[in-house]
Amino acid sequence: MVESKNLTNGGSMVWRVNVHNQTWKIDPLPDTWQKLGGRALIARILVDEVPGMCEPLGSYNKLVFTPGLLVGHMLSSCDRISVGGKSPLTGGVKEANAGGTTGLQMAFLGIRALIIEDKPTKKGWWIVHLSKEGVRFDTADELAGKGVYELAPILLEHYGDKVALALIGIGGEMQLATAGIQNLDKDKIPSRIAARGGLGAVLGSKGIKAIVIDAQGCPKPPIAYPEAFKIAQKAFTKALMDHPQTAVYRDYGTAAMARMCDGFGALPTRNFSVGHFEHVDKISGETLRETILERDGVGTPSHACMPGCTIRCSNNYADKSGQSIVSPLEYETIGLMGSNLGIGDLDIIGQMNREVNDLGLDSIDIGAALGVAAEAGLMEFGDGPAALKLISEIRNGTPLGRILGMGASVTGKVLGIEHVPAVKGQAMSAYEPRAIKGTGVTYATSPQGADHTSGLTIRAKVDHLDPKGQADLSRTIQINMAGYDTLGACIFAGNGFASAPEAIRDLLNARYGWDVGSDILQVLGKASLKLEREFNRLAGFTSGDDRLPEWMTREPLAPLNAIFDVAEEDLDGIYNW
Amino acid sequence: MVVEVHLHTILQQSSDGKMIRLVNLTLPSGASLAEVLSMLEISLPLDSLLIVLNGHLAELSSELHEGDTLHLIPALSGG
Repeated sequence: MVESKNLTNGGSMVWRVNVHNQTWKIDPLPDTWQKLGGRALIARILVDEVPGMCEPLGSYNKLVFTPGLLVGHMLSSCDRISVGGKSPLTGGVKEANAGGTTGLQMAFLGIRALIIEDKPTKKGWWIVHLSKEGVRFDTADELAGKGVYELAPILLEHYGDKVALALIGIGGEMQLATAGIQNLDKDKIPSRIAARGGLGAVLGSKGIKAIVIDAQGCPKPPIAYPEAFKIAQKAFTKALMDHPQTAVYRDYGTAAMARMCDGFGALPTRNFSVGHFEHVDKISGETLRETILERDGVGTPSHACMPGCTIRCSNNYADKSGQSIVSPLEYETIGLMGSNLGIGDLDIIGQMNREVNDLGLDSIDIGAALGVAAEAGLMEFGDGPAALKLISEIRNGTPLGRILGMGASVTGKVLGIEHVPAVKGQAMSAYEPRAIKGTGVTYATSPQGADHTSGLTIRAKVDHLDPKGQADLSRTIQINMAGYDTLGACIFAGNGFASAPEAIRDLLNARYGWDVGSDILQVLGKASLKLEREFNRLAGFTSGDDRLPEWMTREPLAPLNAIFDVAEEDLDGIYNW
Repeated sequence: MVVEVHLHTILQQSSDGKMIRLVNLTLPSGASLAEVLSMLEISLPLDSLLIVLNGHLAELSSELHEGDTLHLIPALSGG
């Protein structure tokens, strides 16, 4: 055991928790991990310590929590926690990140990486408690079967309301491949999910129902040059606040993407069969805002998921009586559970979102699985109650529910549906790749599987229907996104950094006493992608995995009649930089 | 000619206490996108504005035609 006074050590420690023996230790960062955090550090750890061919739910896989390099200072939109391991959904590298308070409290505890190892010897559930005193295992068998909305208040009552939580729902307990890990937002709502790739199943495989992070009594993470940090922070915050997108996100949230995507003919509709939804107005960011404002109660169109965030793009969506249905209601969920299912009713979409949140599942992959199920005839497109009933199958653990909970790819295989919108086994986000071809390149080539946060290109002023140049565009954005994920920065913090590009260099140099250059974002992004590609190679991936589904290359998407026709040599050259 | 114009988020126009997000504009034949922006008094900097004409990103000089569908979108990076 390590004495508590040595635990934090400037935010540069590796905490290892072995669930087999219920032991723990704290080590200094190895040299090659020193300048990594978040996404890049996950890739480094996987390459260094996890056999590529291992079983994702077996004893050799490891689950890693790591705050990004800038986490811990209430820098606006830069306190995200990255979670990673070998994905039970894709079979490859996985990093999923979330807002909330987990990253902040881990940084205060001095944790650069929390690595959860091995498997328990017998069945049972445990809470892992982290504090300045170290690690403690508490039994949690009585908490099994609880959804996250019931579980979080119980844990806060027991451990005190100052702690952060990372927890799984029933989906994680069932080790479903779409299970994520929920984190508390600043208002203690357990809805900030590291959603993608089944990392909640990995936590479930290790017998852990929740991690409690209690940083009370810990000093703030050290800053080598506080004045320089303050100057860079001010420049970044001003650039972010002055950026035109900040106001739009604050007032309309990510849901504003619904009409934008529809305008490009890229709004996934009825299992990705068409790019325009006739009821788009009903599920738009504009309607979301109007509905929230006209209803009394707890609803709000602007809400910060992390302490200190100045963008406040989140929301709390209330019903007609003013009671919260879900917080937040975001575009990806609206796209996959709304237009993708032919459902034009935000109240129904909100209820579906709350249900999958409570189960601890990824609303993107579940929405895509339901779209596949609808095409197979298990529900009618547009039938909200039927969609909710299918989600209840997951809660009840029926064979059908477990199939849906394994995601769109498994659902498609079981039901005999070719039209599965997925790459490397992971469902696409709410941007049709035939109409936004650069994002199609990202879906195809990202080591993470289909994921808009790996490199969304819709903002670029290019002809999104022209296959030429899309790989170059995707490459640039994939590198930047991997860099931001390594910093712990929200995708929208990038707007501020784009306007004040030296701020990243200056913040890192001030925080750590480094001497990195202006290209540090790209250096980190490239390092991350290179390591991720290496882990996937070790896991058996080839260029054949870097492709969109075949049907998207031959079936035109209405209304623009677009197919995905980016040349295969462009896809294969994406990492030639 | 009549062109269907979809106004997004902060570009919606207020009328009688309601927000208007769809406008059918009557324009002279051969009118350009620049004239539409002027008619609607849209002053958002062009680098922050996405102009989508019939599903394609368009230029200010693009000529409009009867039945065109136009989206004027304050640029966003995603969701």
